[in-house]
Amino acid sequence: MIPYRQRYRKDLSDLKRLTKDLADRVGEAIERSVLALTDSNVELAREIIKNDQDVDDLSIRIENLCMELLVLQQPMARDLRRIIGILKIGIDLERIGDLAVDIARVTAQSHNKIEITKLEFIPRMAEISGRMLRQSMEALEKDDADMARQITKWDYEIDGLYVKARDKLLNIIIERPEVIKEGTLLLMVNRHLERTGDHICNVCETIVYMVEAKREHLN
Amino acid sequence: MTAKIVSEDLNLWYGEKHALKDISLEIPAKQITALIGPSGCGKSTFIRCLNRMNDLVSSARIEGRVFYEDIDIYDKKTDVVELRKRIGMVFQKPNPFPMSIYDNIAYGPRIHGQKNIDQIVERSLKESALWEEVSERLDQPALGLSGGQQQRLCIARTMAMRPDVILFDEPCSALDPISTGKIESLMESLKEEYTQIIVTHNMQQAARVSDRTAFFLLGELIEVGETKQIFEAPKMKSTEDYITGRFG
Repeated sequence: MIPYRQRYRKDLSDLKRLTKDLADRVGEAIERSVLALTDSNVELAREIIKNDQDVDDLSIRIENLCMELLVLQQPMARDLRRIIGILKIGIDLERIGDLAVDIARVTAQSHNKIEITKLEFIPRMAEISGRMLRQSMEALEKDDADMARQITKWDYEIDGLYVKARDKLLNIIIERPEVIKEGTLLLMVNRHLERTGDHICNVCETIVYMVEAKREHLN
Repeated sequence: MTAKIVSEDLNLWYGEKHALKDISLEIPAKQITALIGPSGCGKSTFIRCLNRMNDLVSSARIEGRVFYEDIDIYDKKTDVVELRKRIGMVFQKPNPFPMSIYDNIAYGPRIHGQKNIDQIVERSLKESALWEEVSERLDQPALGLSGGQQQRLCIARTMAMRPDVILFDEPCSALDPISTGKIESLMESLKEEYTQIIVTHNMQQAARVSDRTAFFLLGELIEVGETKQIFEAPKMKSTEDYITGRFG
C-alpha cells in the first residue's frame, strides 16, 4: 500500500512528542524552583530563569507547527481537535513555565528568614503538580480521556494544601512582623503553585475535548 | 426543519450492482445539503434519483420512495418534465448550448411558452451574479465565456425555469479558485429562495458552503448531521477516517 499523507501523520505525531517535551521541561522547572527555594540555592534559581528561554522557544516551535498544519493540511475532525488542543495546552504549559520562573525569582529575594522546610505543604504541592503533569502527558499520548478526568482530582489536594500553607504563613507574619516581606513572597509562591494545578486541569479538560469532542469543566 | 425532499429506503441497482442501499434521508428546505464520500459511493447516483435522471440509464432499477413535498417522485402519474422544472440540475462540466448567451437562458422559458423573456433573462443573470459581466454582449456565443462564467450561465439557465430545488453535481471541479469562490457566494445568496444539494469531492467546499452534510460510503448513507458537527466531531469512525484523509 502506498503510504497516504505520511508527512502529515508524522507531523501530527511530532506535535504530541514536542508537547510532552515542553511538559517535561516546565514540570521539572516547577519542582526544581521549589527545591531552589527550600535549599536557598540561588545558582539553581538562576539556571531555572535562564532555561525559561528554551521553554519559550519550544512553545513557539509547537505553535508554528500547528499553524503550518492548519494552513497546509486543512485538518478535520479528530486531527483538527488535536491541533487546536495542542495550541491550547501549549499556552497552559508556557504559563506554568512562567510561574516556575516567578518562584525561582523569590529564592533570590527571601534570604531564608522563614524556614521553608517547615512549610512542608509547599514542596508537597510542587511534587503533586509534577506528577499530575507527567500523568497528563501519558493521557495525551494514549488519547485517554478518563485518565485525564482522574488526574484533575488531585487538584483538590493541591487546593487543600494551598489553604493550609496560606493560613500557616499568615500566622507566621502575624507573630513575626519582621518577616513580612519574605512571608508575602511565600504567599505568592503558594498562589503560583495553586495556579499550576489549575493550568494542569485546563490541560486535562483540553485532552477530554481532543479525544471525545466534549467540553467539560473539571476544575 | 421542514423537509423539502424525503427519500425512504431508497435502493438502486445498475444491473447487478447494488449502488444505493436503503437510503433514508431528509433534505431540509432552503438549506444547502452537501453529499460527500469517495468515488463510487453513490452520492451522484443519489442526487440523480431526485429528478429522475437515472430514468435515462437503461440498466437502473429503483426500489423505495422519494417525495418532493407531497409528490411521490417515482409515482407513474408524476410528470417528469414538470418535476425537472421544479428540481433543476447543474453538472460537473459547464455545458452551455452552442448559441448566444441570451438564447441559452431563453431556451427553456420559450419552450414552455413563457412571456417576458427579456425580463426572465435579466433576472436569471442577475441572480447568478453574471449580469454585470455579460449585459453588454448577450448576443455573443456562450461558448466564448470563461469556464467559471459558463458554469454561472448554466446556473442562470436552471434558474430561468424558477425551480424550487437546485442539484449541483460537482459544480466547481473544473473551475479555478476565483470562479469557485463566485459559485460558492452565489449558492449562499440563493439560500433564501432555493433548496440546494451539492455533491462535492472537495471537503473544504462542503464545510464552507453547506448547512448539513451527508457522508456516503459503498452505497450506504453512513452519517448525516449539521456540517459543523460532521467536520468537528463526526459520530461514525468511517466518517472520521474519510474526512481526516485516512482513506479516500
